[in-house]
Amino acid sequence: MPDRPAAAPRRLVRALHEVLRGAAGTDAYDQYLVHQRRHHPEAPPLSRAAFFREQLAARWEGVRRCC
Amino acid sequence: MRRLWGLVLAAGSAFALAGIALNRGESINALWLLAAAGCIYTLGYRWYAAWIAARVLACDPSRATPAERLDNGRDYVPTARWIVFGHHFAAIAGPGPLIGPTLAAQFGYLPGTLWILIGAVLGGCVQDMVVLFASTRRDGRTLGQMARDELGPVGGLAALFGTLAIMIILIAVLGLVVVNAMRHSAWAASTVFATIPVALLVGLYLRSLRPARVAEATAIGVVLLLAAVVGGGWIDHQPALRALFDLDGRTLAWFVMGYGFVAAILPVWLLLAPRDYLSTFLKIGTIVLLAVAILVLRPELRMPALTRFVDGSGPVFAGKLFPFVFITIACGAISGFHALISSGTTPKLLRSERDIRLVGYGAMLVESGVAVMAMIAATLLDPGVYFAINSPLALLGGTPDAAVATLTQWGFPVTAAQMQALARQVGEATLFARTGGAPSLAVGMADILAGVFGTRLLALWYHFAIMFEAVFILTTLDAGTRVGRFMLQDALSGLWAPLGRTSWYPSVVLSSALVVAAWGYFLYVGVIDPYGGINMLWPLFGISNQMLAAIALAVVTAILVKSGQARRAWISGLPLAWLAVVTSTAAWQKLFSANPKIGFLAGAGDLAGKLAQGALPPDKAAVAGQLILNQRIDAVLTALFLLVLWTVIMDMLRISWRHVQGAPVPRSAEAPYQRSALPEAAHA
Repeated sequence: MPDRPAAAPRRLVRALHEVLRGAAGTDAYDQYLVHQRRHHPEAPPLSRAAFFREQLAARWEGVRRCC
Repeated sequence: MRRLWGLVLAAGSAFALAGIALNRGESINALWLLAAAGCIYTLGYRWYAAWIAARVLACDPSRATPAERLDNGRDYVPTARWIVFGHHFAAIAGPGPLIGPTLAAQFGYLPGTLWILIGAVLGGCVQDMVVLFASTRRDGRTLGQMARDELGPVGGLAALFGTLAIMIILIAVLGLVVVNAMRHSAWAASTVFATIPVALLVGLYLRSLRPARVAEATAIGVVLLLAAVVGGGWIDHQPALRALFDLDGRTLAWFVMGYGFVAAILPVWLLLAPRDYLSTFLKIGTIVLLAVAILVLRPELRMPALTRFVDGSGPVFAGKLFPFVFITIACGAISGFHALISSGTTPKLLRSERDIRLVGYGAMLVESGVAVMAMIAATLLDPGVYFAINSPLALLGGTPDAAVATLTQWGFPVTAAQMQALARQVGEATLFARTGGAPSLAVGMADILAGVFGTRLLALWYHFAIMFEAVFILTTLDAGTRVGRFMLQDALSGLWAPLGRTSWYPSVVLSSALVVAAWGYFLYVGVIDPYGGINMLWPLFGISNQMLAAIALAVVTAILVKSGQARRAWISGLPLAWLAVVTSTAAWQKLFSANPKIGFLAGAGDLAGKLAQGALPPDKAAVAGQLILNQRIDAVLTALFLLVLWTVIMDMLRISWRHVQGAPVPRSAEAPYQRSALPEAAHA
């Protein structure tokens, strides 16, 4: 069924929002939840705060920024 | 159709370059530079990079990447190509391509611009892309690991030393840039200081108030940073507060060292990570803003195409056009540091080998474009003003009046009144001898941005630009100190195992202090050097950076030869040969030139002689001992760089020769082929 015309801009805004979230890396937790549901549905996923903490620690082990 | 486009672009770049080349003697519009850059980048990306990806690397979209095979939802995550591009660009873009071209502008706009374009298309982008490819085929291994696997323990050790050395020198020189930007400027210093509590606040917000809401926290942080710029202006007008933040170089150097130490031992979430969010946002926002402003304003470049300083007598740094323009531009054309990001971090995000060209080659093209913009911002200034800002006073006669007389006599007319008026407009006490590139870039950027958004705000734009540079210089400084600490702890664990424990506090404090002491030494000597220190440290940084690039290119050349592409290994072999020539020549001159302004040993000898004769004024005699020692240390380091460079090249040649002869070599560590299950790979 075709969308109502009013839905198109909203979809565009939503898509744009997704791209921005991806570029800023702020969707990492959602990506992680998707991954967990698909690959490890039996294990309870980490909370948002715990995931964020773990990711920070892992991210800053190596070279992250250049000259 | 593709051919036709190629012809159009080739003609376009030839036309733009000819326009630049033939426009001698009169001013030229910045648009010519941008047009030439756009055409050359497109040619490089559409043809050269595509050819390398298809024919040399044989990127295979049907092959599963480590992100797909090892997907763990954390660091190995298959990610959309433009998002990987964004992350990769944010990681490789640092202050280097802003500072290098600003300093290299002393030769005129032409040599630096040509090297930024040619060096990137044939060298830097190729390096980033091929390293990215090699690491992707090796489960995201780091450059050091690949050097050990493919060349052997000697190559691995050389890569480790190269990385640690470049880190130390880079942090020292960046620290010096920040110190010179804040020296006796209450506005700049208070604004830069304010960025620290802002980062702490964002860190606490993310930890306790609204856990992990990065977007909100960053937005609040950016607003606070802008408020800090305005607040700095207010402080500058309060005599009591102004005196509090009006600091000399030595005090600021101690502050920067203290900051680096504290940032390295504090938990990441409190200072490092939030500062990084803010800096990334500011960096990308400001670069886009600057690009738009240049396109709108289309400024005329006032610097000549070539200046008289190609003969090596330049006041910003000493040394002839060859090899020093290449050493000075460094990151904007080819940066060894990028090999550390292209291996390790980024390969773990790549969804398909098809994206290697966009991410590896494309992101470096954008970085090179940033370098072109920095060149524009430096060369649109009145040349007299540019030299007055970037030259140490001691070289121009010691006083502002003597400096303008010297510059005018050299053919770059400028008056003390003009400098005074400009300083007042941007809200600074003086702009003479603000070496390091940041103040001059900030004047250029303020000029462009104020030209588009209104000249009333020149002082605000200037300090915004200083804050923008300082924020991401400090990000590199604290992240680099931390990485240096990890590397040192790794090395020290060989002496005594507990020293390697990254969360054992005594070891953390000891190793952080050692790393800070190492770069702090060079920073401090740079600050007390009456010649400004930048002319000593930046060439050393350039040499170390190009040496690391040569190591990376040697590793990938060996990989190409071993994977049966010996005939096409010139794609990395030629840039490697060029870097070997440039770096060796520069290192040789820095070691053995008889000119005390160029040669470290000659400089130390000259100073020692003057000290013995009592020919130095008392303030210079007081620091001469330290300067002599420093020049000798610089000489030892340069010799080490040269040694490491040629060790790796010889190792690469040995491995390649043995492979071609059919003798046994370390086995290529490429992970075996596994077919991708991703939908877009189905018809690849």
